[in-house]
Amino acid sequence: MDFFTGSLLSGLQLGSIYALIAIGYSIVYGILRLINFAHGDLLMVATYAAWILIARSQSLAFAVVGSVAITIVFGLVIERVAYRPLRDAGEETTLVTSLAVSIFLQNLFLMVFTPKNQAFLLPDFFSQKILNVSITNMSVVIFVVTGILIAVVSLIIKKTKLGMAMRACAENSGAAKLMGINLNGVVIFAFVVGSALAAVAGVLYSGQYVSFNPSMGFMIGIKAFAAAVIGGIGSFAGAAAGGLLLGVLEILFACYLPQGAGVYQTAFVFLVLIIVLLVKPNGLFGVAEERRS
Amino acid sequence: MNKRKMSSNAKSVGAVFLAVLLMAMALAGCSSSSGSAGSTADKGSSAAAAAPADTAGTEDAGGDTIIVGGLWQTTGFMADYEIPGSEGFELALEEINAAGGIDGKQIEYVYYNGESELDLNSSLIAKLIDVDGAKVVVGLGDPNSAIASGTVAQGKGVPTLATSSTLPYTQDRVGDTAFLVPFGDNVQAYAAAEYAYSDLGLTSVYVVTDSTDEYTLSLSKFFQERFTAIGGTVLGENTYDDNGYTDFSPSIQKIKALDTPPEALFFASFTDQGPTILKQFRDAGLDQPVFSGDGLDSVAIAEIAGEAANNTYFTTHVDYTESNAKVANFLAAYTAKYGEEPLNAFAALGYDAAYLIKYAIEKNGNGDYSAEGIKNALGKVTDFEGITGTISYANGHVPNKTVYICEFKDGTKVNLLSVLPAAE
Repeated sequence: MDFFTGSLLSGLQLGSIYALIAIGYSIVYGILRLINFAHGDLLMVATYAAWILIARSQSLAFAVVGSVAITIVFGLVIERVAYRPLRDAGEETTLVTSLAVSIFLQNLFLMVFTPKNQAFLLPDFFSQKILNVSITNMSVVIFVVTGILIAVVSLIIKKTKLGMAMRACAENSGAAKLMGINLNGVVIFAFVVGSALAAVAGVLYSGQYVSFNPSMGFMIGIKAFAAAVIGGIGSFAGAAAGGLLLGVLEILFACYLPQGAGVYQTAFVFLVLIIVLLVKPNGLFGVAEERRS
Repeated sequence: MNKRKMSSNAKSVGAVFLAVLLMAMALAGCSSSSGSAGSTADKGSSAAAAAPADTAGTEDAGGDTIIVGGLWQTTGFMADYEIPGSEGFELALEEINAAGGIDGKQIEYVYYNGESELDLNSSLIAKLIDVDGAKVVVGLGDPNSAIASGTVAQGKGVPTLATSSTLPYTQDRVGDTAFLVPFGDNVQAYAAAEYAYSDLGLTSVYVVTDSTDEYTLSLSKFFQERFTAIGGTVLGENTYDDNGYTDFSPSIQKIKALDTPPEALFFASFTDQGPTILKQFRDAGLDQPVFSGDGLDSVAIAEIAGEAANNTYFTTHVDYTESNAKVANFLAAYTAKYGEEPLNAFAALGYDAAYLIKYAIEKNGNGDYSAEGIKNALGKVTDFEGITGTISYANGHVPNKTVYICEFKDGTKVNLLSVLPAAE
């Protein structure tokens, strides 16, 4: 495998994980106009949950399902306790609230689990290489799982009644309410989907990169948020595309910038993203809309 | 559709995006953690009672104490080093107080958590000195933090003892109040380079460096300097920005694109990234021997990375398996107090720091317990026998100490040999 293909595959792999997280940001934003910064920390919650369950049950499948369930519970509790009472407050208020939730979650886990780095170990199967090239089974799992989840969620949003209600709320939640759509139900569903995707992303991320700690979610969350904005926040396809784009750009810049400049990969990545936003202010797939007050 | 409103929406998302970018830069790599202060004063009242006879002939030392400050990074990326360091230090303080203190004076200990953050360290050291009255401050974290807080202490004339920072030019950057308990990066990186080239016969290396810390930069620089000087070839170096990056495929792709694969790999990072790098190297089929510095010293790495950690060599400060009475006593006392063996050599460095203060004041202090007096006493230290080697500050404030070379083997840490570097 040559240099370019190898770099591209690594980028897509990282991008897949960003995409899964970005989708969660995007669907919640679409319905509530809420930028939920605690979303990145759900990834960390999922990792700790899966880590404990693997140690207790020795079953990976059980741990993944259990971790998804626990993360959904966290997501719903956060929605109920921190966001629902502020539903009618401004976007700025909920934005700050979500940062507070993020800091609370990190500190809660710091207190319970200490800042120590822990190991997230998957069975050897995942580290095995395929066909003697440097792709591991884990990479394949990441691509396949991400692909399936994106397809499933996309079908739900496009084909089911619940999906239609979600789209209606995203377009105009006031009107949707008047048409008899249960807004709370839709919001809960959005948080369930978002939290579940974040949980899967957390398990994939920690499986791939091994070590984790209570502050792991913050930077990933910020990047996934950037991905969602690039794709056009509120847009499902945009979040997926934005995540992949961000992952690929990150790795390719690090690979192709000259010696010494590689350190500034983040700056270059965000420079490109700023240019994208200058040209398409609503993001790649975003739809221009009136701001609701 | 109303065009003006549309662009205002675009602007507002854009503004949030920019705000988040700025925030991401400000908070990059940080861990917003809980309450920063945990202050206890070790009064040692029972300890003072334990040795009443000693003070009989001298003046009454009962109300007289020496205030020692601790500035440890017990959360954040330095926690793996500084938690053991602070535990080792506290253990030694208890022992010293129980045995009658320093010159019969009890040590009063005040400490804070700097959270591995530069700005917090600078303000906390000022608080330790100005409010709590610390006459010497121990800990300080990585070189970035140690230089930041050390400079503040220098301005106030209070000596600092760094237990985790190994930056050899700390004294030049900070001034004459800065002392290091460990050896400098030049010493450990030279030892690693010589071991790789001369002992293992590896002639080419590829280097991966975290570019965000003085420690990783100097470690990498000195390794390359020595490896080239003794005849080896550095095939290339890839630097990365540690902030939030856990994907090392750019380095891996660059290594794989080399015409001849390197015989060895060197990387400079902290413990949090060690297992991640090792696993990705091995997953990508890079099975060469890997070298690194004391940043890799943590049994947890071997446990986390498992088989991927095999064939990995690093330098550190102490050999806990050595048959040495001092080391054995320390291990027994540490295990009794904390319930497990120390995670790494930094516990021993913290332990040595406390006894070093006692040694300096009792030997060279002439009864001067001011910050100035302690600084002068530390500057005159020669041949202090600690459990991490012999410390002398006669030729600069970075001791030239024994380097221990270790290997990870099947989830454990194995000591291979010790190297006493030639005096400069």
